[in-house]
Amino acid sequence: MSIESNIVYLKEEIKNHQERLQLMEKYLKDYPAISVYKRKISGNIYYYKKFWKNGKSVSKFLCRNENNYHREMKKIEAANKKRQIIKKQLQETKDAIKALNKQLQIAKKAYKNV
Amino acid sequence: MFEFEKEFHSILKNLHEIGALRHLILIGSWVLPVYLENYPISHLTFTTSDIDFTIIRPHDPDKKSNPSIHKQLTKMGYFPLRSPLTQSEKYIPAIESEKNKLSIEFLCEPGRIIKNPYRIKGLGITTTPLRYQRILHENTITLAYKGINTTVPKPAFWAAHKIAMSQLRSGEHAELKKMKDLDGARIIVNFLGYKDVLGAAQSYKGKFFSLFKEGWKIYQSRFPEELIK
Repeated sequence: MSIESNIVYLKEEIKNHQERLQLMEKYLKDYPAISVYKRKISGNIYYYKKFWKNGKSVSKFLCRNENNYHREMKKIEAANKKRQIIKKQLQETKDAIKALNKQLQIAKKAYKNV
Repeated sequence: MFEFEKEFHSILKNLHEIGALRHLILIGSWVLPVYLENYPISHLTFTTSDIDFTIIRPHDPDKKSNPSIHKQLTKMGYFPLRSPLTQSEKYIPAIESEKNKLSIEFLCEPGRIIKNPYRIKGLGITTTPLRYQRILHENTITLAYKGINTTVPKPAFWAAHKIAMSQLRSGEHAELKKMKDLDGARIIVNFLGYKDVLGAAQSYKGKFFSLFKEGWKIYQSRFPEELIK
């Protein structure tokens, strides 16, 4: 394949990666990591979830029943796990874009010299 | 390209399993690995991470029946990404997917009914109309790819189509993209000989042939020594 094809391929790859990166960033912003804490108020136990939103710490009531707590925790753990995978993917995508950009620079240089 | 070949095979296999491949014609640069398995064409290094399929008459009632391509692709870890500007849709790897890298797009021939991206309810996908798809629709061949029967355009028509379509490239880096199209066509021209490709293009008159002629002129100036052989 020619240098031209290589350049087009690299540009398309960078575009695809950037598209993906944007989606990941949006997801991480829309679905923040959640932690859960409990409070004892007037002898009753209440569960709350806590997360960051727009730079502020937000607490929201989750449930008061222990069974519900376990059910909710499963969901939260799954969401946090998914978030972790996406975070890892985000770093990998950033690294890939960096590497592709480097390759593109080299290809462009070679194209100019032809 | 070959780093993605396992994923490409898996997509074909999954679509074959639900019987969806009967509706689809594989086009774009990913036909080259299929040709490579069936013809002695030269080896490829890389091309693109976009897989393109074209669909004949998407509004046909036949397409309203299952299988749902959307369901199968979603199950495989892809999800549809719609362009807010054009409303076209392509399936890209789900953001949490660690193994998927390819994206899949569905095209069709524009017509009286289809002027904008068209949703096929039964298959669950949206096809994007693109001109001159009928050249590929009318000249197909079924080839086996790792044991999966796949419908692809006949090589001569695929190459003629690539050369003609190179002239419709516009926007940023259009020149480079043109050259990439011609590079792809070159693999087939070198294998079949230019006469077969010329013959395929000549069987269509009008605008398509004019585009082909323009593209062919550039091809000739770019690879003159190969055409003398």
